[in-house]
Amino acid sequence: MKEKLKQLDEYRWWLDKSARDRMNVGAKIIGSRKIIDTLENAAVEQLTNVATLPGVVEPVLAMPDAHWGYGLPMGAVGAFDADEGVISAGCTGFDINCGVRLIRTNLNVTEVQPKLRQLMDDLFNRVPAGVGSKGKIRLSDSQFTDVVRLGARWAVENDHGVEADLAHCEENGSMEGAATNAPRITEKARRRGRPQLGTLGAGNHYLEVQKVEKIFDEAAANTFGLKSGQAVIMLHCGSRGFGHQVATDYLERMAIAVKKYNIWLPDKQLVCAPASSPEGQDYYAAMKAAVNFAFCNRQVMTHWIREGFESVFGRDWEKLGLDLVYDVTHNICKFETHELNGSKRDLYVHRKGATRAFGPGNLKIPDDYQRVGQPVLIGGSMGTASYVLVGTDQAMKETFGSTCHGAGRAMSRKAAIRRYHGRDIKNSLEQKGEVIRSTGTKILAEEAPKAYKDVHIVVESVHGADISRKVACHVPLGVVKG
Amino acid sequence: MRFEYPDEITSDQMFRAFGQTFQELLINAAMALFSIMYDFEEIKGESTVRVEAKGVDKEKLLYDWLSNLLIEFEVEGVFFTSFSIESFEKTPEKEFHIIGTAKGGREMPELRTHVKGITLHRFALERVNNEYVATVVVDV
Repeated sequence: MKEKLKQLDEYRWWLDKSARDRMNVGAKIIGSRKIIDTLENAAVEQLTNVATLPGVVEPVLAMPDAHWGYGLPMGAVGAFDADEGVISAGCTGFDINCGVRLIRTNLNVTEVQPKLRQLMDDLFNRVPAGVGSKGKIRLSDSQFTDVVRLGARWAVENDHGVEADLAHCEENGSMEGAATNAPRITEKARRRGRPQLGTLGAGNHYLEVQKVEKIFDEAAANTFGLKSGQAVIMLHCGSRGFGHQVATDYLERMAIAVKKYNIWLPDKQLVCAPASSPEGQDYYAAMKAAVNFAFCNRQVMTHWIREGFESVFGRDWEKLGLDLVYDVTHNICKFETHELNGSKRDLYVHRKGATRAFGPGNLKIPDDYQRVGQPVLIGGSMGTASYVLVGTDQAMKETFGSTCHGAGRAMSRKAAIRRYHGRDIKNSLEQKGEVIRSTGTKILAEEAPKAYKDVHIVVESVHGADISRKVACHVPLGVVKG
Repeated sequence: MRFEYPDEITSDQMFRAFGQTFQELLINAAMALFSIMYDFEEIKGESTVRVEAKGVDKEKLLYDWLSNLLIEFEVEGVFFTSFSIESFEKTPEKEFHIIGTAKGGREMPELRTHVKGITLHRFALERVNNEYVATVVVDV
């Protein structure tokens, strides 16, 4: 399928809808020649699968971090007409509202370095990590209902944050209209989610203390409160077992809906339901509950990170300047209105491993960022750089206001585990001065830096295509992994 | 135990499990699923968890079995290493229904990764050369 890609310019590639049978629309890939050379043919085929679904809106998009996943590739965007199209649990994926938040400090890296080991030990002890980890918060059944209804607001109302935190989250940290109970939210999902609020989890999730290495856009960096040499914190995690179970429950329900509504699927994982159907709307309300759980999860951990800094540096977090820069989601389906060919269209935009990147003046972004655009947080692979970008008008015109989300895998997990040993990776990162705290070393193998694409090349592509622009580059000082 | 991990997918993990009988397949698929996450030799202890599953056909039953094992693993905090099927029947509604047990220890071993869910991507249950073959891609 890759041979059918037509290069449009240095950073854009087009796959016409004639590339295969049943495609309703064409697909666009954002990426340099180098990105396309390493993109798997299977990922391109997966884009064509999404292009066959009812009501899909042109184009189906792959970002430069795209790689072969299940259903929709990781690093892809699929938008569907709100009346004629579908909502797909499969396209959104399991880790609903897997996302990243960035917390700044007013500490320079020279103040953090002497206490870095103590700080990482403190954070590792304070933030529960690992598979099936149980949080420090014990929720009653009604409290759990409030968490999935209110999202990060629940945490703020329960002394785990401040109002300004909410203003600096996508969706203000809470999506309205979330389902909370059976039948839309199963007892299985509630049972799985209840003990896990305030847990980092395992796998690719992490908490990183970083140094702002380089500023590319002084004006935007000033607006986001970032400057060279500053210590910042990046937190990457999602909706944990609750979101995974919501996804599982609706994969099963939508598998039945596909037959009921006679929808042809090229891949069973793309199960979906008409957007206006009970199945589609029930999923959307259940997904919002998982989105809210994830926002609340990151907010609760933010509170503990602040307590950790207070304990190590002996000052209040307010004096240490631990303000939230922004919180973005990477895996989500959103009802959004976009201007297409001069007219406004209501769409359900599925971003799987992709980030919203709204440009300046958009009312959905915080007041203090209106002039520059929405911060976009790009977590690199372990031991490599991360980026802060800013959304653009071009993203609004071309990519349903979306951009990339990370480096993207270049090597399968199995290959990474075969090739690398976790202990060697830990040693090599520690030799570079990084402090690694994890529940074990084996888990580091699949996240080996070389198992990922070069994040700099990924970011150059979205910057070059102007669907988001570089603001700052960060390097890791210390990392906590589950 | 008969299962394998074809290196066929970049972002996630695939396994194939085999069984002379469907019940043997269920056990081998469970072994394959949890072997992705940790080494069984590291697990000590014998906590037992009852796991039920159902499905309108055997493929859906397999999906429910694996998904429910993941739930019990997380909620009960047991690192499973052995599995058995206690009963296998068809309900009056013509659904397949199984009751199984999963055993393991509660002390967390060193993890290789964390499986978040069972995807439907390439999910298949086939009969090949007179045995059952399951192909499963999990989200990690």
